[in-house]
Amino acid sequence: MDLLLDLKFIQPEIILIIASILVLMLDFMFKSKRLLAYFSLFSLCSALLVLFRGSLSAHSLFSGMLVSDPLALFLRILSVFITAVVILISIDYQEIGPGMRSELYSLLLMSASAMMFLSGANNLLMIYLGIEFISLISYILAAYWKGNLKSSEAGLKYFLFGTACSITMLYGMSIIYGITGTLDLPQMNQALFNNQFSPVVIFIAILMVSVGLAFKVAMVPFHFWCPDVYEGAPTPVTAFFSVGPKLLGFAVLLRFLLGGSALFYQHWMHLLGILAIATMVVGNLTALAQTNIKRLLAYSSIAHAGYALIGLVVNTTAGYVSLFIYLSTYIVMNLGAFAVVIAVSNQTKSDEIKDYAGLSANSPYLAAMLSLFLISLAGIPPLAGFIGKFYIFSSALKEGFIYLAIAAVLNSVIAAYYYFNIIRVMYLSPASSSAVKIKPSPALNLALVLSLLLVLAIGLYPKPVIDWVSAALAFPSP
Amino acid sequence: MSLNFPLLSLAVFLPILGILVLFFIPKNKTALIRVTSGIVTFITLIVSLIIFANFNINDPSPQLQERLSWIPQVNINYHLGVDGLSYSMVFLTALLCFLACVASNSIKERIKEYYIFFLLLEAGMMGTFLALDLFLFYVFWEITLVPMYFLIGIWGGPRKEYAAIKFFLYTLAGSVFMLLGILALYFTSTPHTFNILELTQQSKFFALAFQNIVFLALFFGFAVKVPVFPFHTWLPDAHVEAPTPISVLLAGVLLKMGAYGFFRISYPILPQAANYFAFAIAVLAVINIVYGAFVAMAQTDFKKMVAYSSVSHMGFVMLGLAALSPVGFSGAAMQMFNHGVITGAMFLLVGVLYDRAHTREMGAFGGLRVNLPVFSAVLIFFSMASLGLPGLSGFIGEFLSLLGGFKAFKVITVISVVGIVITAGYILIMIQKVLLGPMNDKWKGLSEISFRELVTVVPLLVIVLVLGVYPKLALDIINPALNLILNNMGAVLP
Repeated sequence: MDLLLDLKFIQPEIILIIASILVLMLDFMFKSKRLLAYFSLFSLCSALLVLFRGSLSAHSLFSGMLVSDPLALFLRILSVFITAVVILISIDYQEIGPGMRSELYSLLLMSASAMMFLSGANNLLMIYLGIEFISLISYILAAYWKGNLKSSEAGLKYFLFGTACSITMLYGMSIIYGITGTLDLPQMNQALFNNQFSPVVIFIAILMVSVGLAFKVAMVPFHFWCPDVYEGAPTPVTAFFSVGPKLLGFAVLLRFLLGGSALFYQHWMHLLGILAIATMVVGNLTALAQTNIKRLLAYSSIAHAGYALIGLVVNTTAGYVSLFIYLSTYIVMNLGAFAVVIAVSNQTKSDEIKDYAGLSANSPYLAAMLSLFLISLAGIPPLAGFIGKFYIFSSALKEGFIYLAIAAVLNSVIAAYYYFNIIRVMYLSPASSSAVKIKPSPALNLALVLSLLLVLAIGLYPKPVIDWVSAALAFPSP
Repeated sequence: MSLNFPLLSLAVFLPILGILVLFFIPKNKTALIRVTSGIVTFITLIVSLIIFANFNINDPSPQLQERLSWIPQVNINYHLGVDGLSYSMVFLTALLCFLACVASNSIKERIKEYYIFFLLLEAGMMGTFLALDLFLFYVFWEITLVPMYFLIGIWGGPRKEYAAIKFFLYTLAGSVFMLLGILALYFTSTPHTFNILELTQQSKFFALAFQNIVFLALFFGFAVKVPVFPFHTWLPDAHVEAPTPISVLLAGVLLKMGAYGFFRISYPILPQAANYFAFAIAVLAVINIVYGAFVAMAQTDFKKMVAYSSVSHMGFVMLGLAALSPVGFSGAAMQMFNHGVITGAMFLLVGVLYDRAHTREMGAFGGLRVNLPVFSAVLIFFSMASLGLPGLSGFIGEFLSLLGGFKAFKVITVISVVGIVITAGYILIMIQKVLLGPMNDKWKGLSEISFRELVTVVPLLVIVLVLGVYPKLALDIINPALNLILNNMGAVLP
């Protein structure tokens, strides 16, 4: 069969899997662990190059397990980008000793390939495998900080919570299989279209599958793992969690809800709308009280998932476009913010917001960078975050979801308060006497500048990104 | 200069260019930083004059338009233009920014950051008054927020952190509703557009219920900025805590952004709603005038008194707007400009006093006229302008607003006259407490207003005098634009 032919569509994934194994082997040959990071970056770059040469037309691969369409390509490129930035910011992260470096890079490369498989997953089984693949790697990454109690707690909590959600999802899938007799998304849609089954059962099954995905995007009420895991995990891993699994969670939710489940749109629309508001409110209100910047960013990432959900509730192409524009801008600015957090914690050994006091005097460069990322996260123009928010608000208003639009704008005001609280500490509070000048390492600097340029570029001239996202969603499949 | 030259963009982006230059100046070279910023604001002022040289006063529509496609997917353009109304604001911005920059010598710490934020603020304000695209307008509007937060928060008085975040959140809360209103306009227009001029043309197709909702959404954004009672509570905090030059810009320019929004967006695009809410706005305007005056009277802090007098004076702008007549509009627009000039000067003078005495308690002073004759003369001059003495510019705006208001709402306008009486009261009490009476020995050593400080107020003094005697100079520039707005609203007018 043309199974071998299909392999050429997953070249980038293959490159990354091989690279992840090679990293483990090269660990014994390289004295400087930096070389491992460079090797990982190199493999990611080559995967990216292959991706850019990829075709934009839709193909079904491996008897329908995977699909190669513009949306998948878009998600794969973003997955590689995220992983590359995370590796960049972890190179000089000091809490991870040289003995544990190779595993970190190897796991990150593996999760990159897992995310890429998930990007094109077109079969419930493939979706489950992809989610589990990412989850298992995530549990290890969360507990990676050996000997650190918080990290172990994070890993265990993540594992228990994640497993419960996975099981629920698997159960939902088995019900769907029982009803429709297939796991293939397009066939499942067909079957649901001409169904004679109880809509209640199908609806429950859809909800159960959504639970597993809601866990990945940290949607309320499946967000409880989020703050502890974010705080306990090593910071680069936190940065990764805050964007990677979230992006893919949304993508799979989109593919799943877009298909046959769309029949039940009017059933889950308002439920999802209410959950979106709950996610925003819970995320933002809890973020207000945080004193640790990693926890704060964790809760804020919950809130951001809430805004993004609006794009799904709206359930039009414009809505999906706004969802992915939002996620793209969120990824860039959140990674940038975490890069600053790493640079600061390398020096101060602290993630407490109060230790950012007077940062503007000691390290004006870092303070300005973090301020710009936070202002962007708050959605103030002319930065990237505003473009994302603008698209989300406009998609909500366009389809008449006025209550969602109002909830979202009110929430963005609450969010502005805690983002500006960090800025206040950096600029308005006097520096403590022990504060030292912080100079980010070249690798961190590269990640910072890259994120900043993207935040500025998307904010000032969003046309290319909008074009790109629109093209990715032009022919949504299945 | 050729008409094709993007003069308006130059006015907006010169300050940004200045920021880029400042980045390359080491932060300990304070003199160089001050001079550079002074030059940048001065050139911007010159540019605003060149704009006037290329401006045709007889043409009521926006001139010198520049238009570039920005986000074509949603029909957003980088679109600037200037008419008589926006020109008055552009000139005010350029002038006050230059004078505030000169007055910024009182800032002694973190000089480089200060001027960077200062110039960013100027760019944002310029852009707000020149934008003809709602999206662009919103972007510039929000850009002014961030530098203002820092300018109050870092260089402000004792309660600066509270004042800064309060200002920020109030304005942001208002403006996000404005954003929703803007989006609603976009989706209702056919073809979808953010273009203010096209939306004005389409205004007759918008249903009244829709207009009312959008008007309210925009109202939140603009009313917080003006500020209209009951959205005014951020103002005394922000004005009092801000350093002198920033108070000048806050009162002089930022408040005008709100009123300008009504003129440029709410009224022309939503004429029926403007008519529908006219009475309500008039009532709020009178509350502003009378309540603001009463609260100003109760203040013992000089700066707080001036701050509340702003609330009162901006009420006249709203009253003139609510009148929906040529006279009322002229009054409102004149009051916008004059209040910027007069209150700007008042804040500068309060700053002069505070820099010397380190207190603003009016009761602590007395008899300053003996030591500081020049300062006293200037203060009395602007006080008279502030209380609306005929012959000075403050009178013109208030008079025209009242004239317009009286025709539309007799009872309300009569009540608002109470505000004028109270204003006279608190201004005269202030003069008595600070300048007259027995000399307080504590202030014997107070030095006279310096040459530099005099430079910052004399241009304003000249404007107050000239416009007071010959207001036609400004009215000729502003009126064609206002008449065009009224003509476009035509069908709904009483």
